[in-house]
Amino acid sequence: MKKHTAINRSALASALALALLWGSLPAQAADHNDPNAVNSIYDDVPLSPADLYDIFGYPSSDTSNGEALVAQLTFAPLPSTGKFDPDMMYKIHLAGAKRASDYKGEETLEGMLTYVETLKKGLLDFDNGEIKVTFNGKDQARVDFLNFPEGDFHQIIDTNKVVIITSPKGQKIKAFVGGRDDAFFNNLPGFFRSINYAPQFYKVPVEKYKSLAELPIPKTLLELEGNDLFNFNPQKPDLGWTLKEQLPPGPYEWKGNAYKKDANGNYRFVYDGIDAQAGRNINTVGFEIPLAFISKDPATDRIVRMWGGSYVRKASSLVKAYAPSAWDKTWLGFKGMFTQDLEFNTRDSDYNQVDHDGVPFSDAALSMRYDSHVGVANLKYLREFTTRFAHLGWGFGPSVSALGLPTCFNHDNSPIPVHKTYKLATEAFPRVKHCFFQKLRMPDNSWNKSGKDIPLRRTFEIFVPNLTAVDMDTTGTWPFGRRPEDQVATRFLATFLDMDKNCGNAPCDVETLNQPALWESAPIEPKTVPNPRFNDKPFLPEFPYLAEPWPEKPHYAQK
Amino acid sequence: MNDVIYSSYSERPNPLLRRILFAVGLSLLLALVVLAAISYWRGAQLPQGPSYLQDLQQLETKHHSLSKENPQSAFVFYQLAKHTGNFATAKDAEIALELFAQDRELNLIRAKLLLSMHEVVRGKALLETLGDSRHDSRLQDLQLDLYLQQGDYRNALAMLDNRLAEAPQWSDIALYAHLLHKFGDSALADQFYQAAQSRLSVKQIKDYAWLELQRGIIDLENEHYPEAKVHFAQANQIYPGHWLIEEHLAETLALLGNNDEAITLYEAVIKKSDNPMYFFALGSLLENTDPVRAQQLKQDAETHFVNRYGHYPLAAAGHLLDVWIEQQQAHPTAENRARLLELSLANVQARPNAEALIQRIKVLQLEQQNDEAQQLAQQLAATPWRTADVILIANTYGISLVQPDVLSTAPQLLQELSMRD
Repeated sequence: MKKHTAINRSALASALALALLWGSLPAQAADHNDPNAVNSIYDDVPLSPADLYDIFGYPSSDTSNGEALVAQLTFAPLPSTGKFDPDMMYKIHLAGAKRASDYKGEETLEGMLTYVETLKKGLLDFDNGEIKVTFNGKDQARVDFLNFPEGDFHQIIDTNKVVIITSPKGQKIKAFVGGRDDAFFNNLPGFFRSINYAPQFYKVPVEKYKSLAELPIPKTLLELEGNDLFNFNPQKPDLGWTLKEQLPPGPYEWKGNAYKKDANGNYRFVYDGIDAQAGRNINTVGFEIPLAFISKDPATDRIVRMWGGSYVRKASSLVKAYAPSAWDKTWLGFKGMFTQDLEFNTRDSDYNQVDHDGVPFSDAALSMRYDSHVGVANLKYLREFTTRFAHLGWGFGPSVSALGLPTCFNHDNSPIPVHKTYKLATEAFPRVKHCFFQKLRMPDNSWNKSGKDIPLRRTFEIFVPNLTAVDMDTTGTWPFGRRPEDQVATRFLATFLDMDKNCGNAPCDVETLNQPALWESAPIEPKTVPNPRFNDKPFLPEFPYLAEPWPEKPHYAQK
Repeated sequence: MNDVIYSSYSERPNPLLRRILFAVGLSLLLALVVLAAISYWRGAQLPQGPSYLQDLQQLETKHHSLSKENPQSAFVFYQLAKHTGNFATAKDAEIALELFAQDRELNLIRAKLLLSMHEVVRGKALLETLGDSRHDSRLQDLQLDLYLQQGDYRNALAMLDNRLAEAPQWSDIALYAHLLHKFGDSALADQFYQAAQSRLSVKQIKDYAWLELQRGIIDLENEHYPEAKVHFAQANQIYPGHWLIEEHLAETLALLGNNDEAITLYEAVIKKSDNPMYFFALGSLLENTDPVRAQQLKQDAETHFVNRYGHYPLAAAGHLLDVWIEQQQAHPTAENRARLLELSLANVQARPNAEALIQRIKVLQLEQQNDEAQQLAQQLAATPWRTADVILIANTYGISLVQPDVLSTAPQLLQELSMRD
């Protein structure tokens, strides 16, 4: 026996050596991660069905069954468009709430934090219904409705078809789980150029998400003289689109002191307005749900708070299936003869959350996709958002001023963008104060379809908590929800405008930067809106609204 | 009495009814058997997990399909080496990786390969060319391994603590578990391993099996053989056919007295692995029943050692030093003595960690060089290592051991990790 003890120790040594070999690269672990773990912008991260793209929420124009909310979650189309990974689970959370009154507190950091703290209970500790979607790998989805006023129930539906689900009390819920055209229309390379985001242009491993993602170059809307890593290179027009190069060795700091201008004195826009998502598909779980199903009191609960999550099945849940005893095999086989439900795993404890979708653009713009920032409860990051917004402001603010537009960001009239980071929110706050507290002006009153006295939303109110609050008395256009046709990326940029001042002859509003006329008269090339104004395919007039998918492109599966 | 018996016979059911009942019973039983068979068949159609051989075939096919000029080929070679644990393949993979010395990613893989083969000097030199590890968790993995091989537990723990505080990955938690076990708290270590397992997705089922193996190793080292067997059997079911799992299972079976099963399993293991340990172990098991084969297997073990030693001397020796020490205790030979003295010294010089110190101390004790052994024992006691060997050595020299600080903070860390799940 003794000799075996010795063998054991030696074998252990080899086991430990193998730990380095057998173990996966740690950063690939798909547990409780923010998109960085599934962020396929990084060179070594493959596309993942856990990568949520968007959440859309708005009042339906079809009121034949009463007021209804459209709620759609979109994500990477894997294993392929319209096919779903049976190891994934998706959830959409919905909660009815009353509309908050306009902010009346002090316009200070403490005032903002106190306000959020006061509302904490109302913001986070509320009951919410949950739609849970799981798959069996046989083109079917199980849709569970949980914690809604009518009680829990579920239905198994075919994928890629519009299905009417009837609730226990006879309410009609439209469901579509399938593949569609990507409703996100965006000039992503332009955005990433504006923040000098290396992984879009260069081969950067995900492990370097803190040091080599956003390089220490000022954010900017206008190209900077000598910023060769990110300025448009006519010799390499595909860089950042279909081409990625090795990242040249650093240092990466920008040493210049001026914007880049052409022979005519025009700035070079970091955006070119081209839709990077054109021709791409997504998979979606989407519903059109009567408001009376979501809330017990739809007459007063005029807000629906919603957010989505993706979850991947834990290995531990599969151990029995992968290592079944003869008894397990027999029992599972026996049970399977009598119910199809067994093909779906709906146990929450068998899944780990991977991604969260609530506030559009929040991950990339504010949370920097950090692992720790997943989830709806992001109130504690408000200080961090303050410093982050100020960091962005030192880049975008001077760019906006250079274009002759008023900015809400206090950049001390800096003629060029500055790369500045803050550790303390108290230090950053005076710079962003006006941006945070100004009301986001809408271009006209069409958003307020009810004509009710609905206060315009303030920027800081949009960031926390990490959810989309749909106002059922509006059209649901951002920031009163999110409609597929909203150009949210450009509207996010507009939060750096001073909406108490004029942009040209009219007050600045969330759509100002989306007006071609503004750019036609600006000293800039190319003369285009930052992001495309319309989706590459028209949306449908009826549910599921998202356009039919494009023919499958092999790169989705092959990357 | 007889009347009563006859009377009872007279009340027996009608033979026809009996036949009917029998037929119904038999039919029901048959139906049950058929149902069970169908159920079993259906259950067997459930999705199956990966297997060692299936993965090996895929890697070999992929490797053959790539030209040597393709950098991907070098990477696949490395994957093949790590899959088989074969030193010759590892050497070939190293040479293939070296052809792409301008490729940083492949250099990183090469550094990893070198460190796993205990080539600390070369691995460290290559690692130093790969830049700052502060923001690159892959470089941190290698730096951590380097610290552990060098016995720099303070820096290793500091780095691991940072990683666990910032963005803990399952592999960080597993390494922490391994250290806790070595530091003397196996129960807590097992909880950390379970915490690591709970973070794995179905796409990482092989890593789950590896963690199950580690949990078994804790039980094996603590001589909890039935529990160890359960873990190893589970790991083997999840990822069937891996030589490292099978070897641990075989070893445990032998310790539980199931020699026949152990021998069968070891026979399978030596077909997949060139590790001399396994040849030696099988030889030991066959000593009484088949001394000729046993002798042959021990010679094969020696041959494999020499071959492996030619490729990676310290990795080859490190795994066998314990066996040679025990051989020397039982049947001292001049040849064994010489290589023990040489290799234990080389090992402790290149990798002055607790395990190398333990081996060196044991060799010195065999040589009656107690002064030097005691000196090294003091050095060993200063590490947080608290295995049975450390306690024995400390007792031998009257050295008092203090509990490593990390054991008092680990429960809190476990709680925090659970909350973040």
